[in-house]
Amino acid sequence: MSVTGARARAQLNVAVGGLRLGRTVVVLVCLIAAVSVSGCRDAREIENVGFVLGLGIDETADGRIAVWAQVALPSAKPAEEEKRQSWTAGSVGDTVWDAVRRLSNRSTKVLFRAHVRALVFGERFARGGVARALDVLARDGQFRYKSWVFVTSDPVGDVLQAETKQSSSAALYLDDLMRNASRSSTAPRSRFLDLLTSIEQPGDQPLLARVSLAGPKDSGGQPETEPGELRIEGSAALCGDKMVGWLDAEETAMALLVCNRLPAYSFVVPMPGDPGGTVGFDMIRSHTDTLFPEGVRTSGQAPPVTDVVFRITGTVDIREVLSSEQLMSVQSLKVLEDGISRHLEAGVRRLVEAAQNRLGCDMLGIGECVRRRMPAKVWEDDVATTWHEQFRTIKIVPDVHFEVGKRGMTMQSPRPVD
Amino acid sequence: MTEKTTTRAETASDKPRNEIYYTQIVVITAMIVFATGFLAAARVLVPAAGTAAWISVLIGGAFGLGIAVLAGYLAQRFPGHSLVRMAQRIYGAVPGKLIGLSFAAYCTVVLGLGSRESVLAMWIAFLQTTPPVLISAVFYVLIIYAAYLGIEAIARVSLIFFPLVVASLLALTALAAPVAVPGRLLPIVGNGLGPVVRAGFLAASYAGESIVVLAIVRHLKDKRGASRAMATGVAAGMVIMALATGFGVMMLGVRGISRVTFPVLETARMVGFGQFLERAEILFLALWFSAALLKLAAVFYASITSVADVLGLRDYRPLIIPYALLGAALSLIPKTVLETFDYLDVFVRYSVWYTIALPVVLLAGAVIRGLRGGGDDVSDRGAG
Repeated sequence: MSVTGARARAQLNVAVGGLRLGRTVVVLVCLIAAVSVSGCRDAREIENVGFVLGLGIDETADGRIAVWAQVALPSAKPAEEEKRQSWTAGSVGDTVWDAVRRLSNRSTKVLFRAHVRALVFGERFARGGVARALDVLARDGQFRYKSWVFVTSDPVGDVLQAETKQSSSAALYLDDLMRNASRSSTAPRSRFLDLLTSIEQPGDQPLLARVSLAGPKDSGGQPETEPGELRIEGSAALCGDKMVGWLDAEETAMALLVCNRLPAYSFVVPMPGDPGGTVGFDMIRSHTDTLFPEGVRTSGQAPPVTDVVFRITGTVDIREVLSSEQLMSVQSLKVLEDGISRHLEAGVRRLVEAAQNRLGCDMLGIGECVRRRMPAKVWEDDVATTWHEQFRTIKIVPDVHFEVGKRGMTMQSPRPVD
Repeated sequence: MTEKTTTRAETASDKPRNEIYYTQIVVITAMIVFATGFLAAARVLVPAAGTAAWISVLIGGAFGLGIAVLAGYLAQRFPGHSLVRMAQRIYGAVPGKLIGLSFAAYCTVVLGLGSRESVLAMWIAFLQTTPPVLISAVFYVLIIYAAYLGIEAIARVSLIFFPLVVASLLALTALAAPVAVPGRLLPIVGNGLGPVVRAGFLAASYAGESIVVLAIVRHLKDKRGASRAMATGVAAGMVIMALATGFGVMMLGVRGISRVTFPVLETARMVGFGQFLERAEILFLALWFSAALLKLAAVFYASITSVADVLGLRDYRPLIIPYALLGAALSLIPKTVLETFDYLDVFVRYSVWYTIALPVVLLAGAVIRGLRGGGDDVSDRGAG
């Protein structure tokens, strides 16, 4: 073999060796970088993470902010079932972040807020303005926009510490209740996202579900729920970020009805023409058109609307008839449909009265309908700023037409021979 | 042994040039148009156009189609030419090199801002404790590797990822439907016709990024389809961006979109399926960042091949490491999110004029001088 050949072979070996070394270095760099980027550098063991399921925020009597966190304490073994399944702790600070910071300092686990199911505001805090909590939560990359938001007039700590037989913690119980809320629709399905988007729109003010400890006693003096249990019914009406009052269950359902957010609703009305008789219904379909008989003025000078008609149509199924009137004629059904429509119309009128006079804010979504019909600049510059005042002067007329759908598996009530 | 070495050398030099196909150009163009811009495009467009931001994206897409068609005609007129070579043939050596340098500078800015935007999105939303320099370094290591393999590899991987990205966006759309409020898109003209058209110009800057493909399209096997391929890619990219913007507005509203840092990330955070598919955004983001990575790799390739053409290098590869260091350094210039968005605003406002001017000036010069014809370039001889 010639000297030239040996030199060429040596050069080739060096080149191949260099290439291998280069590849090895690149692979090593990639591996080290991948490990660092994936967070293994400062990984947290799952045992050291506190999964926050519920957050509560309220204002103390001296104007400070109290925060509660309900943290899951998962147990690995069946033997530990008797152990507490959640831990609720609270702290007080000058701001929401300050209180959260103090709470974190007291916890042996890193509080992880990505699984918060329920955010409960105390009434005092809500009346003072929930925006104080929105900033810190909206900035938080962990916090879920789909968390349910509630307002309570009871102590927030007690609500979060309520023991329920159906779920391992109050926050999970509230989550389950809200997921099933469509069955009764006596409370709005208020998520954090809805709160964020609606407080910025004067024409579509937020309604937040009301949660309370053990419901009011019925006429027989018996509580409707177990002592210490939670009940979701009614709503808190907000004007901007400040709570202005409560709506009861029926008013809340009517508000959801006019905003086309009522998935289902059950109610009982007196049987027309039979004093003492009643009929129970499930509302299976409803639709509301917000009409402006005189149009929407877009000049920006005059009030954009003076008259509004809620044209509400829908269908109800008969679930129960306790009456001698068995609705076996077309005429009797017509009378019943008129009765249902008048009943719902009266409910909407009560809601309108509450919205315009008692609460003074537009949770009916009329402003949102107006906004969609006028140039954005006119709405932003001329209308949005004074919408609350304009809303109070609008003449709002409900026009309800419901029809009866199915009447069940029997045409008439089973009854003994007289 | 000498014979063996000679055979090895011959084999290396005889490897076919990077060759890409019509669909790959469509996919690369679409990715260049939307892959980084759609993360924050809504935040830029909504304050200008209001509820009609998605329409402004489509208007921008129409401008972009014009740019893509012009660029495509240019590529068809000079098949096999790189942009620098075209410019040199039309305007002479020195002006041609200056045009080539301006193109390389444009690509470098796209690279720097695109990588910064992607790194910030990862850093702020997910990897809060990881230094952004490290995330940036990983990005650039992958970009370097992709550039080393050549445009054919980038095109092939893009073809794999693009359907996944589109599928992820369709899934996001379907999952977002229950949370979205279509009424938030009204009034349909948003802030008015004038502002919507002006916002369309801003959106056109995203579509205009398709001119980066001018440095790649010479690898298209059938040059006759260049114009159609680029136009199709722009249309696909802008439809994706319009979809993302429209759903962002439907979910967050005009004020919400204007407030958040990365609207698409917020949109992804809000979707889920029942109780078993929560926090699914990471699945989407993994795909979107892969798309961003492929876009940046294509832009990086366009930059270094253009610089190699300007310098008259036979192979672009010696430029990879120095240029990657330059790109990484440029991407770290904006220190804060606010600075990054300020730079982005300036880029979106003014870059559209460059993207219109470049193909117009070159095509006008070629038409006036009656130039056309094939040729070959030197910079990618080593690729393959």
